[in-house]
Amino acid sequence: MQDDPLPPTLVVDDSAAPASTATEGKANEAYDAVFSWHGNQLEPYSLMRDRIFERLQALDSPVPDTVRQDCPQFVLYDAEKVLALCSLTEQQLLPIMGKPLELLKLTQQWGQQHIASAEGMAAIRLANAIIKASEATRAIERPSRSGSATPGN
Amino acid sequence: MLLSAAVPSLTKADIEWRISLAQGYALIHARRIYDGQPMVWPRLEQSPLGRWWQQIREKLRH
Repeated sequence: MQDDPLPPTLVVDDSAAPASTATEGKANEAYDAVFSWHGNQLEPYSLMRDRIFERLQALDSPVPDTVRQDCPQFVLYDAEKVLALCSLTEQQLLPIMGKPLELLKLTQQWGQQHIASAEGMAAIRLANAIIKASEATRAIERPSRSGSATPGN
Repeated sequence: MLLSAAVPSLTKADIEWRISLAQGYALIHARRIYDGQPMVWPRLEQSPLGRWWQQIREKLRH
């Protein structure tokens, strides 16, 4: 006679469940989010696009984050990069992956062609929404009771 | 690596270009929950305990 397999253990964080609904709602929205600019659907803000964005930001160093966040020119400059990277396909980006200056030129050209001066705020809002959505689903392992935090995702 | 372990059917190109970071983090999160690992939201304002802690800090500040 064969024993029935044990039912799987479901771990639920009961203490946090009711009041976390807002966070989970935002996470659900972020998971399904599809962004578009001028009616064109943007590509997902993926791992590689995030890495390219970081690489492009590194070209501007040394600019402290506090200055970058408070200066409208820098905010728009970064927004332009995010939107350009999400507008370009992997086939367009792959050939110049190892050429940061060409990537920077490409994003700037895209910005000049697709973001009118009156659309700056809209571009910044959209880029912020894309970046926020990319972080909204990121959870970490609960720290252990002994106080040592385990690494998150 | 974590996403590949969470969803083995995804290709390298999927992970690098076609899955948004939001979806990637969510899939890793789900995999860890299935594996029995309790998870928390990292920022204070995202969890009830964190919000409570923020309120305490605000009260102490004034």
